[in-house]
Amino acid sequence: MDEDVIRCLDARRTQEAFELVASRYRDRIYRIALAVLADEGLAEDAAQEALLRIWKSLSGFKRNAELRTWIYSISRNCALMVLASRKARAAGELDEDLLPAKFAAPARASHDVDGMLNTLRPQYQQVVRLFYMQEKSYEEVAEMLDLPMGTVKTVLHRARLELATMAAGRLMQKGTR
Amino acid sequence: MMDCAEFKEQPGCAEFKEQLGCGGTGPLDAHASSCPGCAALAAAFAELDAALTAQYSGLSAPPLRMPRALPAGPSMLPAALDWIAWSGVTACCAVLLIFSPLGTVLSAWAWMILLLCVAVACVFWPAKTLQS
Repeated sequence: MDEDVIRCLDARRTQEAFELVASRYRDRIYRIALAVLADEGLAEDAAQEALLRIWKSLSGFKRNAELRTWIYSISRNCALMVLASRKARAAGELDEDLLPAKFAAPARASHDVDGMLNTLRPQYQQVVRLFYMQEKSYEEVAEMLDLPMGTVKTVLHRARLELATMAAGRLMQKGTR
Repeated sequence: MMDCAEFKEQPGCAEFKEQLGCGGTGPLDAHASSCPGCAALAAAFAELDAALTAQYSGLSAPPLRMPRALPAGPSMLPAALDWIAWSGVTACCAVLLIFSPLGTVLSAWAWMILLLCVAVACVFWPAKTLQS
């Protein structure tokens, strides 16, 4: 899939290689960031940072790894760094308005499906978001989050069962009122 | 007859239906028709699947600033420092050899070795740097 990028790198055409990478992986880099951060603005920052890092180290890419695995790993690290700095800042400021939805009280954001999703544990949220963003492909989710396929399937089933139980509870509550 | 625990073990969304085996969705439907709780769960699964698909499917990145404007690629500084360090080490070794008792005996040879080391360092390290 990325032979053309490798050919460009071998010919030391780094700029061209980077442009190929950026056009091919831009959306996936952003999706990984969004799955981890659950915030479009933060995801954009993380994706931007990931692209910058890829640019800086693309010429030194070691051929013993798959290019996309390397790109996904940089994307995850950038997203996790943004998440960590956001958490640290939020802990320092203790201002609820600055917290992303997932750190705010669940009751505040539980009206829609995304609000319910935010009440799940982070790994469940990441898998569910990425699964739907990647057109329901287990393989891609497993590769992008560096998880075994079995884990992705299990997490997805449990997460959706939790979500459906929450939603069904609400449906039944509405019905009894 | 399927019970509620078994029902919950079955993935409830459309794209899982082919994984349910030869029994198909028949046992699931039969159970749901007799259990309001599981029927609500099945409806919630379908609703969730539709909502999550609508919200996330095919999501694209917003226009990101490409680092095209950066003046140069990776810094050459580490490679240059590497070269300076190795040249220094080679030169030091050669100087120690010249001023050692062995060096007085083999001073002409030692000078030749020093020149050879510097020449090798001058050619090998820039070549290695350019290659990487």
